[in-house]
Amino acid sequence: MATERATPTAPGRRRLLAAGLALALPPARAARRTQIVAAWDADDGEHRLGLLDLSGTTVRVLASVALPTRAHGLVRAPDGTVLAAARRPGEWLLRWSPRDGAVDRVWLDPDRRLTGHLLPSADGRVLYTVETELETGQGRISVRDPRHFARLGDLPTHGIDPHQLLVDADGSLLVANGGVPTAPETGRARLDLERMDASLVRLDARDGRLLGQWRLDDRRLSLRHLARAGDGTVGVALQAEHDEAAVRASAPLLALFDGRGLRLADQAQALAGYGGDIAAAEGGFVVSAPRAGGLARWSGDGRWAGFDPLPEACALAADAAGLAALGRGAAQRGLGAAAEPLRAGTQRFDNHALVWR
Amino acid sequence: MSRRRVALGFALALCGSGVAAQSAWRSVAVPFYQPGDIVQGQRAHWYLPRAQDLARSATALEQAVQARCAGAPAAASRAAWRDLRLAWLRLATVPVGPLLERRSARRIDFAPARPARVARAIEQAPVGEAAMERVGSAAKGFDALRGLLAPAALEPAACAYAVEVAADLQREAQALAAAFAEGPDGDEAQLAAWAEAVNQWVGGLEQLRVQGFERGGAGADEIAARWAALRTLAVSDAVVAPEAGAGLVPLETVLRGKGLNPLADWLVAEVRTVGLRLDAARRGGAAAQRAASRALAALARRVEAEVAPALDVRLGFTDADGD
Repeated sequence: MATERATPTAPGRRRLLAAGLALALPPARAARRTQIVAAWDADDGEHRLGLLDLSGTTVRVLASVALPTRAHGLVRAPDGTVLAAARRPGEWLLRWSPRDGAVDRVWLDPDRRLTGHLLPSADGRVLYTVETELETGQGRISVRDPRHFARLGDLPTHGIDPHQLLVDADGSLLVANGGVPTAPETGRARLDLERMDASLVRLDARDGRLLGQWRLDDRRLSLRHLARAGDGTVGVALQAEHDEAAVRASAPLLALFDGRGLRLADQAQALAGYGGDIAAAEGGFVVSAPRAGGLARWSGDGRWAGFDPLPEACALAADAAGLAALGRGAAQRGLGAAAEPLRAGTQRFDNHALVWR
Repeated sequence: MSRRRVALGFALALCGSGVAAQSAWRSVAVPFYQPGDIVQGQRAHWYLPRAQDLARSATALEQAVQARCAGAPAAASRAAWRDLRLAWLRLATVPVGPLLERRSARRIDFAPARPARVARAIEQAPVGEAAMERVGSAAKGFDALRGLLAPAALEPAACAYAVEVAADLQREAQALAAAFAEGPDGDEAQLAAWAEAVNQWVGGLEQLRVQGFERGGAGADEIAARWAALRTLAVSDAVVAPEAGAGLVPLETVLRGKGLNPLADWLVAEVRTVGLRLDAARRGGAAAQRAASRALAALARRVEAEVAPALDVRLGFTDADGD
């Protein structure tokens, strides 16, 4: 694993001051401050990761750093930095400090590729990264030292194309195996969808032992993104891989996992078969549907709750204070009738975002 | 169009000449190419000759390593390794067909090699094809052999293992040359091969950008070899387009055959710009390297956004979709 430390692309003095002032705001105003971390493609094609302010009527970039390729999974590290994983088949992991612009980047060993997300353990002592082992094509989770990404251990995901994971209260891991056969040599091209095998698995984080595995009846629905609601229900955002365009267009975008089984949520309209991100927010689940141009909303028990139009909506950032969503040229704070629209630049945001407080 | 003309155009393409691409298209009609014509042209006029070059270079390397173990100077074996490496990059920068089916890159291009695995393999002293099959990729292939040939003086055991690694490379090169002599058969297979060719061209461009300028470590000659392959498969230096099935049909020519001359002109101009940026990066510093990386990214972006849809090809490498 090659390690390098890049020259920090420090945010400008004015930006630092703005960020500092925002952090110093009294509680009443700080509650309205909405800052998120997201990745995007700039107009000149450069891939960037940055800190955005959504407090006003426009999305403002406070600080950013250039990336070698597009990012995908983003997470806040226990030390307050941002950790990012390259989009699949990804070759780098990166740590970025929005405060001082410091960057550390490592390149993966040649026998592995990143396939989506990363997550610290509950105690923050290790970092899990979701990967594919090139020799076998099988999904693996690397257990890494969050300080320098060195691999400490390795767990099987009991499937292929693993994408996102959650850590449960008991320390076990819940992993979405997307199930789509691909090869790193051919990018994200689907190889043989007849072999598709998506599943949600629960693993013992100590040894990778399979504690449970669940599948949907429709084997052409890829289980990709996960979010847990306050009551423990896990929402699973889906991506359709059916051969027929009409079937893909009307495919479901949300499944719910209650700890015992997976079931599809009600869906009142066609959403173009592609869930880009998922968040648990305002007592329910939100799945971004960029190809349908908006945010699909459900109650916590899977009843359809509505659709918020937002062009190319994808990255969602949610916490107890609410949700923010990024689209193309537009963004919004909040949901439904209470949503506040914002203007965004012409950059193309990637799938995911993090609340940054 | 005569075979001689096809040969002339191909030679110019290999030289990377600055001749205006497909300059006769305004006065001489460019054929409409079926996917089978394009794939057959690529296989017969690009991949097969490159695979045969690879096999010849691999045989030369095997002989050079044997000679080294018999006391010849180190420089010859290192030069033979370099020749083989460049032949590999010319063939495998845009990996299609047998390169993917055989997973050749994984077999012989694992980098960086793992010194501990190489040391263990030297101890185990494998001999012959079956024994080398049991040696992991991290202990054989290009990078392992580069390391084995690096010392001024080789221990006999290391030298014997280097000969086996060179022979392993030669077997893979020979297998590729044999496999590229056969093309995909039938409309469906040819259509899939055409889509694969466009996908892999974009992927090869991205790999050049990442390995050459983002990750670093690729030398100037490796970057040049990768770019020569990408350029040859993208734009034509032939004055007149080949008849269907009679020559290499680059992306530019396919576009012209569809009447998409403005897009073809853009592709030619953009490829020329990238070539200039790469030349500048070879001579210049960090700013020139960033400019080269950006030029490669810009080319990939527009090929994804405009060229691939115009060719009715769905990309798996595209940056334009989500994940």
